[in-house]
Amino acid sequence: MSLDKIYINNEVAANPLVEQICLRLPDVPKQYVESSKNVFDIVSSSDNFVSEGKKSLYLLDNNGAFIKQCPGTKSYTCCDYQILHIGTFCTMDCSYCILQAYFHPPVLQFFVNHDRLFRELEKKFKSDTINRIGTGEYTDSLIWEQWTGLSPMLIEKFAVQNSSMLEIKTKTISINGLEGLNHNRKTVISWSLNTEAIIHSEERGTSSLSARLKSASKCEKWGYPVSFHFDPMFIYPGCEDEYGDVVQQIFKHVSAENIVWISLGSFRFMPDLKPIIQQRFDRSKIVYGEFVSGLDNKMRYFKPLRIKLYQKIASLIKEIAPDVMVYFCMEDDEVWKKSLGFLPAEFGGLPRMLDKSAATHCGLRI
Amino acid sequence: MTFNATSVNLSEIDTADVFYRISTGNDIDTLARSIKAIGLINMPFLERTESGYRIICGFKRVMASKMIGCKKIAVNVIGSNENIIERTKLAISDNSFQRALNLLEQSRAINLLSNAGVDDENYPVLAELLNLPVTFSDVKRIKPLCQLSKHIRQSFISEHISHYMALELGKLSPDTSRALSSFFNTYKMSFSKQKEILGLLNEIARRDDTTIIQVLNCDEITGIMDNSELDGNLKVSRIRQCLKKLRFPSITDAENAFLFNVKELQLPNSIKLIPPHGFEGANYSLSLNFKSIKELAGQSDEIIKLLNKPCLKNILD
Repeated sequence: MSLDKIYINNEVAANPLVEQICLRLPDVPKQYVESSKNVFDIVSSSDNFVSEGKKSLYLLDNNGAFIKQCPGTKSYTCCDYQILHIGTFCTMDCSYCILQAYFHPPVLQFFVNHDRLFRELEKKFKSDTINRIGTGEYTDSLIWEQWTGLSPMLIEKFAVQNSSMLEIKTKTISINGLEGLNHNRKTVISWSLNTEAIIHSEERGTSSLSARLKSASKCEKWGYPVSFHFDPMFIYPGCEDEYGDVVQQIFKHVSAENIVWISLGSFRFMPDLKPIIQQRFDRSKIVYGEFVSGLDNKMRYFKPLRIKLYQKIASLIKEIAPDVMVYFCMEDDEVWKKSLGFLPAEFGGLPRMLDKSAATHCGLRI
Repeated sequence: MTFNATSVNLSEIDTADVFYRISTGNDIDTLARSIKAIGLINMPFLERTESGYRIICGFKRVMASKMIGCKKIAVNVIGSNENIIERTKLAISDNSFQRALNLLEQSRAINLLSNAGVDDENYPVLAELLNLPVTFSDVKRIKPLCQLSKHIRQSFISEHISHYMALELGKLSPDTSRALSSFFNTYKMSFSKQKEILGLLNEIARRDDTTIIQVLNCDEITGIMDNSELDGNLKVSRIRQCLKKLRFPSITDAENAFLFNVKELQLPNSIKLIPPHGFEGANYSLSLNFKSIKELAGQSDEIIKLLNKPCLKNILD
């Protein structure tokens, strides 16, 4: 999706990064604004404010924390991931994207006060604990590369410390800027994966499965550890075989020993997202699965259905690559026990398990 | 306002032209008796057209006069200098100040103002003056009603379907809305059940790449509708169950299995085993009803018996 407008908060008008971004987008009209409300009002007034938000780039300072805890809930097992809050929203257009309903309104925001971002990181690097930090929670990590070149800077920053790893999570193949960097294996390049059918029907503007896996293969050749996220998984006739095919393809492209982890998570959504999907993706069938209201008030597939899919995919991964760490994103003990045969608590908890895998693959001090 | 009181031939009035009509009622018998007994008290207002006259207000008076065999009728013909907004105001106020307009009539009035070129900015002032809904949200909700198909309007006016349902049916194809209007006219149920049934039909149809009519005509549903041994309420109940089963087959199976196992537990009526909502959480609840310590003690014995029943393990596993 191409940009229609760049909004620049007056406070950042003199930031050299703003000029640099604008130079890379010479044909996009610019507008200076006094406050975020000006931008939000313009985007909200559109009949299709989600699409409008994807075409409106807003450059501003982040006045809150750059590093945040992932907003998990106590009812399900969380991985204690930390989010590096570089910006919001995405230029790709996935029907199931929670960001459509999470931000009011959703706007492509990019924070330009990188001095403070790096100061926060420096502080974090000094902590005694292992930090798993990712940029792909409120946005796709690599959509910004065409305009900003932030990821290479982050990668080189992470390379010179050994307490924290950076996970760059994407559905793109914008990896050219990652070649030849001194990453010191402290950055994991990660892809969200889905079946060809789901990518085709639900992930507008994303890269194909084979392109993502070829990119993963390239990154592995450049020395990066990689990871994969099957999240969200969808339940539909034939899905088990199709997800199984994706698993097989992963191991044809990358070697198991370079995979830091593979996560599994099924489609879940805030009730507010349903009408947005119905309106914006009228041919999508994803909201017509068998959902129940979860303990976090999000709609989730009926638990036995989730377990059945997880069992099949997890066992296939374990069959091909028994040492690869497989984990669930936001599931409860019953799902863990019935799908993987153990509880995270038996191994010190999920965060501890992930720390260990990160330490092994990225050379972090544990 | 300028107008000319005169008498015109009824044959010159185009009664098929309902451009200004607000009222949804068609009962003119009483009015016809009144006109026959004491004559016309209030004269209708007409506007001159190229071929005759168009009614602005007084549709029933004109029709009633025709019905009793009058050839001529006393009327006020509006001056040609009066613009369409003034004529519209007359058409609306003739109705809105003599009775509370129903929603369909309000919808006609709102559309009439819109047709007369009244924009969103000027609407609230005129609406207040004419005793019509003023707020934007009310207008947005009411305005589409009179544009719905006739069968939907009829179901709505006869109170077989809700305002919400009328608008929802209006979004469907004419065949589908006709089938559903007919279904809701035939089977009486609460508006919330109508909403539930439409939601289930719609989602099954979308999921299965079929149509609402095909789902409604599936063997299971028609079998229930054609079963002469069931009364209307029972049919509605069975149809809802059937649609839930079609929409949520695994969940329905799990609920039925749970109910089967609970039945096997043979709990007294005063003790209820409640599963986690949607079987999502891990916590089951026991609900106990008692009036005395003695009753509670009796339930305590039942709970101890319950612990040894294999069905309980089936449920919890």
